[in-house]
Amino acid sequence: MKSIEELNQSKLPIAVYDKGLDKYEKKPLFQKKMDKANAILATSPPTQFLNERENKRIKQYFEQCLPIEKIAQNLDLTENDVLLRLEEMGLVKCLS
Amino acid sequence: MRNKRYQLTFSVSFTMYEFVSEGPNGRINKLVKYTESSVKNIYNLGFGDKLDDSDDFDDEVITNNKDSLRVLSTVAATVYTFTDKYPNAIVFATGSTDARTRLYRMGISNNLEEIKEDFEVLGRIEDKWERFEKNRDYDAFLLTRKIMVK
Repeated sequence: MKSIEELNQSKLPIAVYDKGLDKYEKKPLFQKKMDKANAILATSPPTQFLNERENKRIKQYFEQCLPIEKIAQNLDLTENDVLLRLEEMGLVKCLS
Repeated sequence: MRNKRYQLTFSVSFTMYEFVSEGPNGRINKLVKYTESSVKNIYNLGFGDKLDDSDDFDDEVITNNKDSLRVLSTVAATVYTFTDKYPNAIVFATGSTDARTRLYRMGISNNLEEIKEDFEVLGRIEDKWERFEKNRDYDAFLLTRKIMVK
């Protein structure tokens, strides 16, 4: 049997739920850094990366045969958006 | 990052983590919080020390508890747990000071091969994002779980 020390060396760490932390859930913390993050993302949004990633996810779900409705729901997109992306990737041909 | 880590606790939503740093300056409670930014699915990684006898945290204090590598490994471990729970989340990280940003950059560089097994890593340089490469002077980072497609 592995020891806690050994188990804790795995990529996914052992973590224990602590109800005491829930009180900080709604509390704004590290606001200065949050503002810095938002400023950086406003100046240079990683749009291309986000689109590539979303397309990969759409392709992955499509290959898993998820219905278009479910893909749209999972990614918070409209069904039309999903169909357009799939068409752009050459995975479906839409009859318009 | 397979260095020694501290034991973690997490909140109900898996967005907050706490651990205790131990060193010459005593036991110091550390908190990691993931907060959604102004961009959908991008979460800021906030991290700091609990201030004595209060519910406040400071992310600019220099603890100097001689365990920075262990602390960094523990924070990195929270990225695994958080993105395991939220696979679509993208983690934004930058230091509260230039020195801390350098420490993050070093931590990523030194463990890049292992990190890249599971994550895509981007760095920002001259206002542009690119795939993370060693020896580049990035001022912010994005980490996200890899998506496996055929």
